Amino acid sequence: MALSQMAAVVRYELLMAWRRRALLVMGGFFLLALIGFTAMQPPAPVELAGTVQVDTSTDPPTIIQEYSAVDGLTVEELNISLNLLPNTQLVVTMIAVIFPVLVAITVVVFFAESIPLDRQYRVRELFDSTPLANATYLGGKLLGAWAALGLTLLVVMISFGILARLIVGAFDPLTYLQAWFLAVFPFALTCTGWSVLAASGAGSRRKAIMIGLVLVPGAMILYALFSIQFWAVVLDVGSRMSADEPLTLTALFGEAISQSAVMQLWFLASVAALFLIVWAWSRVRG
Amino acid sequence: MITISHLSKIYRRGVKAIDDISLEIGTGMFGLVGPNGAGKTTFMRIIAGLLKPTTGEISVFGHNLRSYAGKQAAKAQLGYLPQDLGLYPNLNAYEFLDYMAILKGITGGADRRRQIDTLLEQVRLTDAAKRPLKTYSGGMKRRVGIAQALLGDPRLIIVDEPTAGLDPEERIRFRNLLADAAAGRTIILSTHIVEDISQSCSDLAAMRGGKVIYRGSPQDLIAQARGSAWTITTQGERPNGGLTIVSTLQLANGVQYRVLGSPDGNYDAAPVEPSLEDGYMWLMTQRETGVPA
Repeated sequence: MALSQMAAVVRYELLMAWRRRALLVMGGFFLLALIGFTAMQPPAPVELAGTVQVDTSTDPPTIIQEYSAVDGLTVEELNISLNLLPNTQLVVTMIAVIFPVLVAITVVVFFAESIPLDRQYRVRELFDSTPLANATYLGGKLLGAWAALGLTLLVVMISFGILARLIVGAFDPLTYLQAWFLAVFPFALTCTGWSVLAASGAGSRRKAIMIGLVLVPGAMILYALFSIQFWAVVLDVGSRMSADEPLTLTALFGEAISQSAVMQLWFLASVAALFLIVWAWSRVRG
Repeated sequence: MITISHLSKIYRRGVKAIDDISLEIGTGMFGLVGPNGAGKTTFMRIIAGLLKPTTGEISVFGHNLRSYAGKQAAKAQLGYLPQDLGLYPNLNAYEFLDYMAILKGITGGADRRRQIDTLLEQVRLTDAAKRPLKTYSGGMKRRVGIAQALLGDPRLIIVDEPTAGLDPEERIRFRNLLADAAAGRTIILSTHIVEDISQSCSDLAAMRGGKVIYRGSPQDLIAQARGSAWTITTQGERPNGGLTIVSTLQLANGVQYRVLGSPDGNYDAAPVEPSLEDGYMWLMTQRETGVPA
């Protein structure tokens, strides 16, 4: 029965979020911001993690500066397509580095009202009169928020992928997907989880949004940790390059994204810990 | 059977909402009356398992509400309509009932649909079932509320001030709906509209200051006021002398007051058969003046 109840909470959370146009507004904002930032980027020169600089304004693009680590390597030895390289760097920087700032600021405020809204609509009392366990309700609300966010990000991912292809040209799709699924999604889920759970005790929507605002610096610290790790790996990979160990997109961004994803598992674990605290607190109070 | 033993609820800052109540409530409609602030809503919320009592025990069909498992088992047999009913404005009645049905444990899709269709028909909302709840009138929302309370065929239904804000036609329809649902169930109806009780309950309790000050049948409560209900017609001056005015009626030749008490010879007073409202008012006045009922 608990699974059916949780599925119902998730389903109706999604339906109501959709009808409030909440997802549309959030997704539209994300997409417009991403396109705006991308369109504002100068076409050249593009610096690849302090390793090479590529002038993309020439046809074909040319390496205009090489650092010591890549001295003596030809473009072929670098094993990087000069068309793909700057474009991929641009979209990865957008998705894995700049976009999470937007996500951190937006979702912690946006999803803070998930549970307090039930109090504001005064349906919580009805729910509490049913055999719905606190953990099921809390889990359903969290999964509902995650599902709403996940679907929104998925649409933004596909839309931005298509639009970025038109704006900046070809880029490596695998690295693009990695950036979304290993960097953006876990980070966004962590911020959302924090927000839903931390604001669950708020008596009104307004208080919940205040709690969400208080969480913004916390989300930014998470972002900073994640971002530092990301660039540390990129720079480290760049410095290790040699003729025997050619630079590839997978080696450069793939490793950075993967290692950041491991860190994000810890972030998600913090959501699980917060869930247990909130659940235990609700049992004590209830 | 609901058994309540020495129940008390003290809120923070020492506000005593319920003061040592012991009651047994059986099958049928049970009315709970009392003035605002008497503790009715707190009492109902405790029985519904929404609020923890400070002291005392409650057993609902053998399930002790002190334990989590007992509370969950009792809630599985409960239909609840709170005083301050809230609904999701963006859902329609069908979706809202579907949501509540699943939360109540009706997980079979066909059974759920059948129950929802039947209840929508009973509360006469079939035609409006697909309209968003934010477009509903107060009466229609109350009907959705009673429909959700009846979902899952609960053995215990708790309704708190269900007719507040309803027009007379809606109120009568609502009372009949509850009376029909009372067969084989326990329905606890809390209200400060005494007429609702008189028309539907055979057993009632009156609360005041967190205590039960009367427990018995409406007829016995009416009997307590017998010999104390009068009508007095004056040219406009209000009767005094310790009389409680229950109602005032403007007539062509003066003003007719319905009063409780013992009017002196200065008034042209005619005895009348008391109503439940007179009995209730009599009870409350006696308590105010410290005379035991």
